[in-house]
Amino acid sequence: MQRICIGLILFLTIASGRVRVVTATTDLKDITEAIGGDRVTVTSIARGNQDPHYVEVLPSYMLKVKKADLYLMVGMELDLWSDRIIDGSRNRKLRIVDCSKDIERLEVPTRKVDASLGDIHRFGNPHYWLDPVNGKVLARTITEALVEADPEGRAVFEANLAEFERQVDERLAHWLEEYASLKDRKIMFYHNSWPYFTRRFGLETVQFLEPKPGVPPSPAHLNRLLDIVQKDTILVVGMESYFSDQTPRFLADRTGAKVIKLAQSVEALPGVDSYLDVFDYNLHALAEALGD
Amino acid sequence: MRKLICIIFINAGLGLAQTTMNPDLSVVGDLIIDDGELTTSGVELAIQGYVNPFARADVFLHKHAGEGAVELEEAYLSIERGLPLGLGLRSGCFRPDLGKINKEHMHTYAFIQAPGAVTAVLGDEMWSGTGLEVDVLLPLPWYSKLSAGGFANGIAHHHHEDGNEGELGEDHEHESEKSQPAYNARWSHFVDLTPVAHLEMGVSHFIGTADEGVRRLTGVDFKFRWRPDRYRSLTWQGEYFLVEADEPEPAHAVYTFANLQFSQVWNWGVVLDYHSDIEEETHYSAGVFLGYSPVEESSVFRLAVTGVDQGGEREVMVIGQIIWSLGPHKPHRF
Repeated sequence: MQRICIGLILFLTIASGRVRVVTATTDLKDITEAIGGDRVTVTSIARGNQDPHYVEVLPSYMLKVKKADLYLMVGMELDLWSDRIIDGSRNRKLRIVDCSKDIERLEVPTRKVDASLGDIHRFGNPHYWLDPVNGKVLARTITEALVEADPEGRAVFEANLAEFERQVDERLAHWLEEYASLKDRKIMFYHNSWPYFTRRFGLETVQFLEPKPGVPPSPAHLNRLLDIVQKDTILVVGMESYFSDQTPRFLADRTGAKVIKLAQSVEALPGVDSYLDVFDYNLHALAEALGD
Repeated sequence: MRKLICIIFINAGLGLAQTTMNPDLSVVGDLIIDDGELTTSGVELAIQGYVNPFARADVFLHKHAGEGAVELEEAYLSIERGLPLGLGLRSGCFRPDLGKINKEHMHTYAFIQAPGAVTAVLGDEMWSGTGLEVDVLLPLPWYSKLSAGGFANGIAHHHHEDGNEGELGEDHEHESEKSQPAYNARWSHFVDLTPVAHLEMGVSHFIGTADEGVRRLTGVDFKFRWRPDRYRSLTWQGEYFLVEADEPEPAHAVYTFANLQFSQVWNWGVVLDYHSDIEEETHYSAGVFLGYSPVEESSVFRLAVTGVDQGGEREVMVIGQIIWSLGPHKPHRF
């Protein structure tokens, strides 16, 4: 008990003076830690292997936000649950930042959006962090927010931002060269999480296992997909880590396509511990599955 | 009444035609198959949104099938981030913080009908009071909330003319008892047992003045939730109420249910309840339920088989329900 008390006091002492940040997802957490360094303590609400569309609003999350200085949300209606957590936190001083504010958005609906389209997002596809260039945009948004919360840390945050951008540029150049053979390769995904990723690395998406976003695959849709996989010689079905592989396996068993789990976020799969790991892991997994 | 309905629909139409500054509009309806008869529990219209940066408003209107009147279920203002000391406030007509199930609308149940023990204590429509409730998050290492409120009206008991308490689709109920004024208090705790398992516990108290004298309820409740992934979850919830009035002996009411989600779209569970000496009858029931949600929570198919012993009279009920919802898709609150 004495050890716990000492640990708690030590933790509170160390934590005091730091900017306390709560992020909606692990990707935002990792980038915030990269920018904030020792001047921040960061907690994520969603786990990396969790579907970020559906996070149960737990009172314990409200408690985390109650003590926070800054809340970083994904935005574009991906994390609608953030609103209820923020309200329930009773934190009047909380700064809330929508990290999608400077993102060049893809798949913004051009017609009236309703439930007949499935779980579609009115402001465009919200999985924008899956393009490393957008990771740099996120890092700049997070830097602005941290400077506002802790002006004395500006120099540290800006230096860390420059280092983060350098790392992304370096890795991106490497990925584009190393995985150039992925360009124009056809792939089927479970859910439409990947338009930013495929645009950056030149992959071609051919259909989704979900007939419409958020709608589980039906037998009729699977029959159509069987034809498409065979006709278009799809070699790989990529899926987010939080889906069951039962349906993709059904498809793979009948067509010979390979099923691979991809990391949609930091900590989605073992070994994916940082934002840059997400791309290292996914590109390697795709190249291996496609035989490149 | 026609005027009210017209106003609602005109406002709904204007809302759809205007900007994103408008409140969220949702409609929930159902079809019930009960003893071979097709009926419905009516339609619920929800209008929800922020009033300003510090407060939001929630309005729930219910149109029961076969009834002319639109019932105001709830209409309240809540301030969650605008007050000092971590205080929260709700004012208007709403379901007070009294146990777990009192705040839940029927379409969010895993089963179809509210347990008999609950309706015997809280009424067929649960307790919705007009008043003010204040709560505070206590400075403890875990989530701990203390709430207390005062209301102009207490728990209204509804009775159906055929004596079947809580039967869905009935429209000939009348209010037999209404206590006033009333006060409630609840102290609840929420802890994460693991990242995917959580426990909530609470103790509640109600005191209301009726023509017959003072009525007190003291309750304890718990909810255990385990959700390792999107395909599996287990919810186990239970509540106990001690009812004290001017009768010589106190009465007891208790229910519990367990709901297991075993795939993305299927769930099943059991619900048990018992109450004694409330309305001079002892009641037991045990039931099983099955649910199927093909596309998220926008449409749900339910089947419930329940055995009831009401004062020695036994019956088995088989009820089916198709429930649908229209409107902004919001995650459920835990």
